[in-house]
Amino acid sequence: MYPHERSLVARLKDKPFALLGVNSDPKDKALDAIKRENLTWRSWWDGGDTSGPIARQYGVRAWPTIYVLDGKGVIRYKGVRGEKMDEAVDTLLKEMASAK
Amino acid sequence: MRTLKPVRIACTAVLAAALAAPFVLLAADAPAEQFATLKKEYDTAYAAYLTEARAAKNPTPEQRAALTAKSPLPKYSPKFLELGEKLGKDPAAVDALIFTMRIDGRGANGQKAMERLERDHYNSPQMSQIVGMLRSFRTPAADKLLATITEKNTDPGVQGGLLMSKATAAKTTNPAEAEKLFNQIIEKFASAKSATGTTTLGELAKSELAAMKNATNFDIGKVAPDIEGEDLSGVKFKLSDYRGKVVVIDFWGDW
Repeated sequence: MYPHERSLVARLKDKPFALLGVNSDPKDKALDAIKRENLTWRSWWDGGDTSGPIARQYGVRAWPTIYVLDGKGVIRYKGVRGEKMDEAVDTLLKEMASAK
Repeated sequence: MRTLKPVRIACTAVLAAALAAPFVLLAADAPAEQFATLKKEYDTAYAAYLTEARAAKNPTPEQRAALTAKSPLPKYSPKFLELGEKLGKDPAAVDALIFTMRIDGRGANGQKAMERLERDHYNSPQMSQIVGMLRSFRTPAADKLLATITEKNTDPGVQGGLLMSKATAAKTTNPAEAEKLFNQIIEKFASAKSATGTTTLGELAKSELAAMKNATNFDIGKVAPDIEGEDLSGVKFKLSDYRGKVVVIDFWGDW
């Protein structure tokens, strides 16, 4: 999953787009992954395990879990991975561009 | 010469233990103790197996097959079944039979255990431990056991547990029905113990209802509830800082 998300973030670096992570690892493990995999996006650190406050707030029980929001913060897609994630993001970016 | 002595003592100890072992088995321990002893033996064997399985990183198919062959499950499921049959009506018999079906749910011993539970123990309050999972076995023995428990078991924890499993199963397929069932549990079985014994069915049903209500806030078309927290360098930031951008929220872990 890292390579895909890395290329998505790189491809859209000049667009109104952000990938935000919620990380459920112990901090040292998360930092290690970020360094090792060269992850450029920001993550909330959710307390070190899968029962963290953000995962609980969002009722997340499986990892990875994906939400895609439009510019108004509305949830538009859930659980899209790989190419489906790219399609979802591109659709919303196009929608936003044509609304201007 | 002197150095041999401890070795000899050790040998003697082993020999004594080996001689004593049959008597330990013959002694009529209380049923609960017999189950506990076998369970402990199994737990030790299973822990050793797990350690070995985890140590084998990226095993070849052959290695994986060899590892599977070492699993203690086939050795122990007949032992638990035998104990469950031997102990008659004692609650420890139910423990042993339930454990057999836990480790051999679709296997022959698991089916025999369920048949025995259906015949001799359908009215046991211990059935509350399994009513939640019986639905998922999908074998004739499991279906029959579930039907008999539903019809004949008089324990509130068991009947409440049945309702609970029905409600949980309906959560995604029929939320309105699930809500109705959770409310029924709160009305009729509020103080009945949960399957784990750590809480009551009423508390469980309430938290399920709250979670269902909360879940609708995360439906497609809803504004995502704001997230506030610190990033990995300890800097605070909020989801709402990103309004005006398309955002992917990715719950991830490096595992």
